[in-house]
Amino acid sequence: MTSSSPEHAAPTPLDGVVVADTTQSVAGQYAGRLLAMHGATVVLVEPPEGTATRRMAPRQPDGPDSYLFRHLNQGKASVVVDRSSPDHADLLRDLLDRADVLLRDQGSAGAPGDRLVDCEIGDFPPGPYERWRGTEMVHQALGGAMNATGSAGRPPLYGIGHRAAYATGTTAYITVVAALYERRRSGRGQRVRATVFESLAAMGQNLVSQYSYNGTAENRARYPGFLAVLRCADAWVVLFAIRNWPGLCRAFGLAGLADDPRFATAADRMANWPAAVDLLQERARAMRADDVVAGCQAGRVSAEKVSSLADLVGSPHWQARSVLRRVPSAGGSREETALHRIAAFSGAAAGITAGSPDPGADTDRIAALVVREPR
Amino acid sequence: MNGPLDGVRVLEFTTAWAGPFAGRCLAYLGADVIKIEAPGHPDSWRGAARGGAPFYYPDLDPGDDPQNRDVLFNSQNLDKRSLALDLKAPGSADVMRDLIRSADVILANFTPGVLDRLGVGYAAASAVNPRVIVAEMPAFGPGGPLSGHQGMGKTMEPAAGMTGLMGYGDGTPVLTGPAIMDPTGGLNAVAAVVSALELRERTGRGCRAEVAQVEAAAHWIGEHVLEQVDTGRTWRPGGNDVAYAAPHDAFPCRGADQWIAIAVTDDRQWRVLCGQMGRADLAADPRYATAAARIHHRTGLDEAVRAWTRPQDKRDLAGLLQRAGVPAAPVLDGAGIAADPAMWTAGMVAELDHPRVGRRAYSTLGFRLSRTPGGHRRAAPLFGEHNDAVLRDLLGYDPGRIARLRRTGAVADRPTADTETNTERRRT
Repeated sequence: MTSSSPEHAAPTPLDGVVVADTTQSVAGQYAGRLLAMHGATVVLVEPPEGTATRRMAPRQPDGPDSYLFRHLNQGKASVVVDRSSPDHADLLRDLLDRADVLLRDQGSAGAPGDRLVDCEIGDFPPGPYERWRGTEMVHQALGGAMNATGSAGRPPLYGIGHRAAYATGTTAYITVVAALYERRRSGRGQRVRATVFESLAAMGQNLVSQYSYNGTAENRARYPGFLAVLRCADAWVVLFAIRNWPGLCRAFGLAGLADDPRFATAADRMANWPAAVDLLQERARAMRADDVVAGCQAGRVSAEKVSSLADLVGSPHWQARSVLRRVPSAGGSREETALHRIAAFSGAAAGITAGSPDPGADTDRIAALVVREPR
Repeated sequence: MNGPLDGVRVLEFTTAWAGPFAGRCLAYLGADVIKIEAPGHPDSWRGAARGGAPFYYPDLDPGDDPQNRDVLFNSQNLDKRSLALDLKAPGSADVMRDLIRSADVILANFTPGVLDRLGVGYAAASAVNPRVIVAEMPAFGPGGPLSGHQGMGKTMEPAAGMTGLMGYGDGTPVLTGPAIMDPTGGLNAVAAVVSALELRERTGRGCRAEVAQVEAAAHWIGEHVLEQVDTGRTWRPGGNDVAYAAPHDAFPCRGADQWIAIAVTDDRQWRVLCGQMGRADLAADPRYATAAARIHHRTGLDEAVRAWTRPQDKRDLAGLLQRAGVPAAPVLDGAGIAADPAMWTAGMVAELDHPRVGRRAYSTLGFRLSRTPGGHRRAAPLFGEHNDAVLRDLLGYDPGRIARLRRTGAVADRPTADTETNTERRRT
């Protein structure tokens, strides 16, 4: 793991952009994290009791904030706003007056300003579900992924964590930055929206189109592709062989299968894929997972070992790529771990360089910023 | 309708899902996306020249032009133009140079180094056009032992650590049904592109933007990564269990493989659920009074809920629970989603005409902008459909020059290979 290093000299993609993040959701705060990661000044506006994600699982065993809060809010400043306090109301008004972007929960008040990109983030758009309560599992159920995840004859599985919310946060980020880009031409901001329902529906693998083409749909009984999940001697391997069938056969010492008429064409292989997987599994049982992966990749077939997070965080690849970084808190009193980078830009800096904020830690600094620099 | 990226031109060198999804997002947002396919190595989602599995095709029929009828390709390449160009053939380098001069973004999802070897990496492209952005989205970034690995959506999920966090708790890995990693990588790549466009406004120059898809996807389980690093442990999968709520599962409903998802996230919702179930005894039972208690005693709890849901219709029951304030949803399949009025009301479905498959429905995207909304307007292109439009109208080539490019094989109107072609010894 590397330590944070000053990157102030390099430009950042969103240098100078000021964001007021008043959201309390995973999706909203992840959008804010992405804006902070790319150089914007992002101010998390918290209620006196602290934002809700500070208390959401997984929690630190002996610290005040959850790991979820840390991850979502690294790189941001924090101000606490008690809306019943006139001073606080002034600070919020000044911040919104200065902000280029407002991230807010669905249904909360927007802000005036012709140049503001006003981004509302919520669960459902107007329509039949607009009054429904969304959770990660509710969205995965409505989005189609859940029905196809798991085993036939067992309950469908929703997945893990908050991936639909992260998709929504990323969708919001893209929409906001695209609107900032457009503002250069028009001189005007606009209202934008990201909902979990729409963001997840956009990620469904051809569900709508496949049904429109021929009335079929994926389910848990069988994946419609050249997928194999194999138990090797020491671990599980997942492979996907959209092409290079001969290379796959060789990786398992089954070169003769390359000429087997059951597997002669893509259509043949799809029709007989369960038999092919049985043959591969028979060989895999006595092979090491790393050898299966290496053999498949040598034959230009995609394969990877099922890795635990314990495996990954210490893996040579993550070490070589500096996937994790230690970053200091705003006051420098502690350090925390960050997944610091989504993208690398030549000649520019982008990444998390500071930890998550304590509640209200930046009130004075932000007050000075917004009073000094009206938009 | 205009999109926020009107005026941005993208040259797309991508295959399968993640890269084409990214290009589709940019097209939806208003960019002019020109998909460049090698005749000898077309997008793998065009499938096999003689047809693949029937469920990839309209009415289960590959027809006589399967590579233009595959639902996979046709779903992820909406609103693009297609140029079929062999970068290794004589004359193609000049075409690329002319295209790069007018381009804002080059988008590719090859393994590291391939784009450079094709002569359109950042060093070469920026020499032609210093403002061009080269966005690459390999499965793994350069510099590590996995850098050369081929990645697919299904294999990137275990590599990102997600698969180890999912399953029924019996040790058998479970993958997300649809390959979630492809649109995840695609969205992260689009985020990088719009960031790079803003960066260019600050520096006056283009850049190379690199998104290592597997690493980027790990951010979507970031809280578990941080917990693992700090404590040496993290979530162990157990079906639909979560650390903060119970009941939280899929419960059977009337019919074969019909399920309702119910997620009780606070004590009030629990009491409401008990009321709907007519089980005041459960609401009063101290074993179920708090979330922690319900999680501890969830086995008996879930059985009681199952007995109640089993004879009921999943949609009716979900509506009933939601009206009462309990998070619930029917678990929908492709047919259910295609027919879901909420999808149509939200504008998540577009019906588009295509010359080889007719009028079909496609999923749209989740970007919503009040003044510059963008959208999907055109079906996916036929292979090489816009060869002449790009060469003549965009680059200003005369008919003789275009004919010469066809003679040398630099430009083609049909693919010369498919997914049955062995690419083991190829570099790209």
